[in-house]
Amino acid sequence: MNRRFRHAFVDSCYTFAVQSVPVLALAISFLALILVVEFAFHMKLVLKQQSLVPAFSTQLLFRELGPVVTCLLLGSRIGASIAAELATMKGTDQLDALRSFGVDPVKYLVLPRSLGCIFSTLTLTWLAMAVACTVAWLVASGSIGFSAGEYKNGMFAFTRWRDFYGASLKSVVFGTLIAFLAARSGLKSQRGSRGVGEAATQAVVRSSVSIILTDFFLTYLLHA
Amino acid sequence: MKHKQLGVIALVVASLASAVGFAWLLGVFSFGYGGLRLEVLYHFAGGVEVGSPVRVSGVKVGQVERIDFLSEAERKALPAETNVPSLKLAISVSSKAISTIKSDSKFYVNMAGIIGERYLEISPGTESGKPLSSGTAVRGIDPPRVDQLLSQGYNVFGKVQEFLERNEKPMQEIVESMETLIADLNKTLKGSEKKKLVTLLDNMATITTDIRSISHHLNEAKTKEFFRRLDALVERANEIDKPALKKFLQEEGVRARIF
Repeated sequence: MNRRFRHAFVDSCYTFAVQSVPVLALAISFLALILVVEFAFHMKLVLKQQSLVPAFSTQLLFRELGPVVTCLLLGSRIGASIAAELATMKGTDQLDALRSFGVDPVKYLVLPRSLGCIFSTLTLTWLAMAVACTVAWLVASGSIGFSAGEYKNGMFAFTRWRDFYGASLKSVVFGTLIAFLAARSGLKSQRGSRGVGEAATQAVVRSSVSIILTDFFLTYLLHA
Repeated sequence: MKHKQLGVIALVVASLASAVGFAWLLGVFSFGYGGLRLEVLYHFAGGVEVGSPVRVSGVKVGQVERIDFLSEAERKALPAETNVPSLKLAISVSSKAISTIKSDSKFYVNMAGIIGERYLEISPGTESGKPLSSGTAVRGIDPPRVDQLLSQGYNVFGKVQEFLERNEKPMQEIVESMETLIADLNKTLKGSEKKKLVTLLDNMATITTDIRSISHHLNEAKTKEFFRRLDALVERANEIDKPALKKFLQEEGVRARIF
C-alpha cells in the first residue's frame, strides 16, 4: 500500500466514519428508545407483562436495525459524497486528465473510497449496536420499570454469536454495495451541475433500495 | 492528517472494544467463570446451547462452554444404562459456587421464562458428598422428552381410535343399553315406583334400628345372666344319657323306642 493510497484511505475513513459518528449515535439512540418503548407497550398489551422486552429488542437490534439503519444512514451520506465527488471530477475533466497520465481512476479514486466505505459500515455498525444496547439499557432501567441487572440479564437471552457475525456480514455487504453503486453513479454521470445532482440522488436511491432488498436475502440465508 | 489518523484509530479501538464486549456477553469467551470446569454427560440435552447459563440454587454462576458428541470409544467406556449418554457439556462454574457442588449434586436441564430459555441447574450437594475437582465427568439428569411423550400419546390415541372403529357396533349397543338403563332408573325413581322404594328404604331403616337395639342389649348384664343360665342348662342336658332317659320313661309308664 503506497503512501498516497494510505492517505486517501485514511481520509475516506475519517470523512465517512468518524464524521458520521455524532449523527449516527443520535439516530440509533432514538431508534433504541422507540424500540424499547414499543416492545414494552405491545408486550404489556398482549402478554400483560414485559419480561421479554430486553431479549427481543436486543435480538432485533443485532439482526436488523443495527446493520440496516446504520448502512441506510451511511448510504445517504457516503453514497452521495462519492457520487457527487466523482461526477464533479468527471465534469471538470479530472478523470480524463488522470487517464491521460496513465492512472486508472478506479484504482486511484474509487478503491480507497470503497475500502473506506466498507470499513465505515463495519466499524459503525458495531459501534451503533453498542450505543443502541447501552441507551436501551439505561432508558429501560430508568423509566420502563426494569432494574439495571434485570434488563442486562435478559438482553442476550435469545441473541447468539451467529446474530453478531450476521450483522457484521451484512454491514460489509451493504458497504460494498454503497461504494459500488455510488462509484458507478459518479463515473456514469452526465456532465454539468445537473449531472452531479442526478448522480448523488441516484446513488442514495439505489443504495437504499439495494440495502433493503439484499437485507431480505441475507436474513433469509442467515436465519431462515 | 495526524488528527484524522487519531480519529480513525479511536474509532477502530471503540468498535473493536464493542465487538469484544459483545463476544464476551454472547459467551464466545469468558474470564469470570474459571473456578471449576466440569463435564456433564447427557443422552438428550433438551435445547441447551453454548453460552446457556449454569445456575446453582437459581443463581447464575457459570455457563456452558462447549457441547461435544461422545465418540464410540467414550460411550463404550461408560457404565451400561438404558439411555447411554451421547453428549458431553463442558461447563464452567464460578469459584464462589464450588463449595456447593458435590458428588451427590444433580445436574438438571431447566427452562426459564414464558418462552423458555434453557439453562443447566445444579442442585447443591449434601454434607456427606465429596467435593468435585475440575475435569470430573458427571452424569446429568436428562430432561423429559416432550416430543416423545406427544408421539407416544398419539400412538395410544391411535390405538383407542382403532379399537373404537373396529368395535363400533358393540360399543354403540353398550352406550344405548346404558342410556336405557339410566332412563329406566330415572323413571323408577321419579314415577309410581317411587313410593315402594321409599317404603323399602323405611323398612330397611327400621330393621337396621332393631338390629342395632338388639346388639346394644346383648351387652347388658341381664342378657349376660340369661346366656349364662342357658349355657348351664345345656350342660346339664348333656349329662342326661340314654339309660337314664329310658329309666325315666319306664317309670312314667311310657314305652317308646328311643335312639
